[in-house]
Amino acid sequence: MNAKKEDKPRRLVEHVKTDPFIDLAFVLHLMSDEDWRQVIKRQAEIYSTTGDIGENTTTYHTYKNKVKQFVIKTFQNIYTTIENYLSEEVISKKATRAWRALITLLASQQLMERAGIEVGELLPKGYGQLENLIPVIESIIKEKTSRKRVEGPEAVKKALRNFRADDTARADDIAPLLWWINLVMESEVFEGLFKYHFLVSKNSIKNFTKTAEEILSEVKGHRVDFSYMEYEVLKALLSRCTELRGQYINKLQNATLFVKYLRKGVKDPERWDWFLQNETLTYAITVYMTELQGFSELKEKELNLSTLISPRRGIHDGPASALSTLTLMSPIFMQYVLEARGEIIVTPADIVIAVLRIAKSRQEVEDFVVNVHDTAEEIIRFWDEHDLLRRLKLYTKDEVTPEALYSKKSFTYSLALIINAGVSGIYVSTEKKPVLQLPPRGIGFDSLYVRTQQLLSVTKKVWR
Amino acid sequence: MSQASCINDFIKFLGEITGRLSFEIVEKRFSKALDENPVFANIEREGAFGKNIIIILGGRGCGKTLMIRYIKYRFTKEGWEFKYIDGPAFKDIKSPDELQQIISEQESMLTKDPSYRIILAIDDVAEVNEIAREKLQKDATELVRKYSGRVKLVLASQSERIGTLELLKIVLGQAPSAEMFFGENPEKSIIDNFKSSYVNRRPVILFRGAALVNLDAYWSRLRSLNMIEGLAEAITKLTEFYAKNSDAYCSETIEKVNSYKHGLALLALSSIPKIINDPTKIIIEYRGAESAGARFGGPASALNGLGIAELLRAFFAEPNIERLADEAERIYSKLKEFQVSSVSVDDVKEVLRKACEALHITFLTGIPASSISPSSFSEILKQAGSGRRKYGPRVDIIEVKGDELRGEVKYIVLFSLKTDKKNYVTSGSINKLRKLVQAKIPSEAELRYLIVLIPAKMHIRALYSALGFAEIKRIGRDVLVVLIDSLSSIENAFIYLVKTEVLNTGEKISQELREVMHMIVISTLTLSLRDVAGVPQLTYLMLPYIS
Repeated sequence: MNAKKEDKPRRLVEHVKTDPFIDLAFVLHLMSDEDWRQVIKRQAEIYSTTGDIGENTTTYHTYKNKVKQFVIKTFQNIYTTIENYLSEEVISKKATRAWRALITLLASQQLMERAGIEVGELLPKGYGQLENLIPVIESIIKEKTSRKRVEGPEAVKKALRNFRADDTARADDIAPLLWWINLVMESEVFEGLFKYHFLVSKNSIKNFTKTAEEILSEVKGHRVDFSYMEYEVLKALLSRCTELRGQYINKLQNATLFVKYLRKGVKDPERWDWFLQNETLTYAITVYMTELQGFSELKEKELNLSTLISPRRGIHDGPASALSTLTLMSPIFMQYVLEARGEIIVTPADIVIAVLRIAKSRQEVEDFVVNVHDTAEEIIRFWDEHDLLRRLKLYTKDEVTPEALYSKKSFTYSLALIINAGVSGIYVSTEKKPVLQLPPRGIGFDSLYVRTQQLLSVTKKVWR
Repeated sequence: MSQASCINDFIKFLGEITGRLSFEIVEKRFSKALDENPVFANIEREGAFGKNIIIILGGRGCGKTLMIRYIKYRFTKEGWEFKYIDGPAFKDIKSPDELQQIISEQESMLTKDPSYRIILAIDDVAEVNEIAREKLQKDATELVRKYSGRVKLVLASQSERIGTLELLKIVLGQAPSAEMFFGENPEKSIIDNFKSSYVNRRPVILFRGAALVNLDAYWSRLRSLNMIEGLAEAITKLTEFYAKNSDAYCSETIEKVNSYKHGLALLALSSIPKIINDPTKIIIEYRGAESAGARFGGPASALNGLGIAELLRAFFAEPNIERLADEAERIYSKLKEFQVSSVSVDDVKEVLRKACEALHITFLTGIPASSISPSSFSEILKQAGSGRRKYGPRVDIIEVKGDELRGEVKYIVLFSLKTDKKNYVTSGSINKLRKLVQAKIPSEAELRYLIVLIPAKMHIRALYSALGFAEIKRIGRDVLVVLIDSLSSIENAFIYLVKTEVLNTGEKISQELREVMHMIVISTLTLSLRDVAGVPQLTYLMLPYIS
């Protein structure tokens, strides 16, 4: 590959740049140092209170300066010319992302602690205890680098199998972390995937494939097959959105390795058909992002993860950082509970979106009160409108009614997360009878008190 | 009885009361002159005893059990019944229902007899087991709520115990009727008030139906050079109190203490408060176990009842402490006469340097700011002395050990804002400060703090202009302000004296007393060096954590 090709903006997937194992090495190096771990733990707390992500700290600069040698040393036996691909730009980008991924991860964990949420409820128990995850990541990298041309999924499966034998909890705990690292480290590739989800969430594609097949049916000898036409069109659209040529779609598999493969709920994760139509994790991120942006009066859709986890300066920045972390973590919570317990949950993003939708439909510009039933009903409506409900129902037998939703622990937990994160736009109140209890103190409530303007201004800050 | 043996008896008495005493022994030992104890009188005046739940907190040796003894004395006079419960007794798993039994018994008595009034006092309550804790949270608080005015729940606990914060946050803060006792946001309100009580010197915090008595905060009121008279008075009164409760009243002891009381007060101030290693960072008076039997005045001792008893014992038993008290007494009389109108930021810095040296805290001067890295202090030294000339500002750094288990080290970078003849902050000073912030010298996550010593409140504007709008929110986080102009004349004189080490008569201060004075700088003077909001930022950084 020559430099000229590398500069081409349309090729998102390239083998060193989008190797998820190299991404893991960037993260591993940061979490291996005890002193650095302490610094990022403290920085995570600062991030959710002031919005400062700490990219000006000496620790970050030291890490950035040292990580290149670590990556080269780790991968030199399988990528002999790896040094040539690790340009300053790539190093800088990856190091920043590794830093941001861990800060936001720890911030979300600290927010959960603050809200008094039971460990293991929205995320696995070991989540956030970086020291426990180091051996698992080391083992995954070791498997990959043991010899040349080890297939990505095989390396991960083998490493996790080894751990599962003696330490089941640890191997399972790591899946959401790997999803998160993969999402942040490969944000350009995922941005392409979000574009695809955004496109298919509009119903016009289905009509188009139907029309195309109908037109072709006029040709003699053509065998009408609507679903095949749809599959091929969707695959082509995915290739277009991720700046790929059709035959390279397997490269996309590698770049999205953890998000796509570490899914117990999916029977054949290596296939594309489920992903094209039934994906939940990355699809939910797209839906949350676009829906929230709808309230922020943005001219264009921003499907960029980096914006959400970038440092902020100014008023509302602490709460906005906390809210953006929670928004991004919401699909991870959703996916984890779906996989671990086969349940549908209400996420913090669902609640924020639901109350803002209610405010819009009722034309509320001032403060208002909405009961939990109506909120849950709005969440279902939102899921239904955006084709999330159908997708979720594929993986669970849970009943989806307003009563079932607001009676879930996850409803009060997500609410507690929003309230304790300092997003001062949603509070609890009692209109008739306190039917639910808000952790950590168990304050009784049956409705939400919404300060529309306040909530809107924090939401807008998320996108700036 | 001869004078010598009378004093010996007093020393023996003090020796006996400085260990951990059971309630029975406390009751037996202290039966006289309870009304005269200055601590109780003060807390009584604040209205703590009128509440339904009384929480008594304090570090080891601050007199919690004695306080329960006083409550018994005070209320049984008025016809209240009293029940003492020893918390550690509930550690035994065989007695999980004992508390329930006590509560049920009391409830039936209260129902039967409308004139029955009871005080339930649980000592060392943080040590009760899980089941008893639940009973306490639900049933005991419910009993107090139901029979409000006829039941008083007295809970005493050592502040440094891990269980104490949990007791406050969960057992009390999340009790079913917590709002009735502690007002809105009970959990936060209890912890915030506990945290601020020491710094704000408020020993009694009154809530809706409860009172929190922080005995350490009573002593923090006296931990000030401005309060030496008050502390001296408290020492005399405590001596009287002890003398009256000892087997034979020894008037000589009181006379002797009276004549050295200011000197003793100065010595008492040299003990160092500690910080509970928790994000709440609560300051307490705590005597570490290592100082037991050691000479008074070490960093491990505390300013409280136990600390003063130890000081008195040392004063009577060891001639060198008497000599030291004598010298301190003279120094104090000179301090009062001294007229030092103001001190400069550099004087404060110099005094801090001397104090750090005395306490074996590393203090480095003239370190190039560009050498500072978070990895280790030795690296800073190595880089600073590497021969290559470093450009840019130079700073003074204090290295303070934080959590020893984690090997945590905090770096305090001292910076002083200089003023010109017309009392304006020099632009050179502002530029240097700006450079330091731009060079990321202060970094909260990396435990590096920039202490900006500011001559007067009016100069704070210079700090804002140096930082710029984007960095202003760092003030109070990693850019910390210390105002010099809030120091009193006696504090100014003290700083001057520590700096010069010579009295105006030309007399040199002895090495031993100099050590005492250096410790006072860290333990007491830093409490007066506060920021605009009245937070003693330097104290929070410099005090040692409880090991």
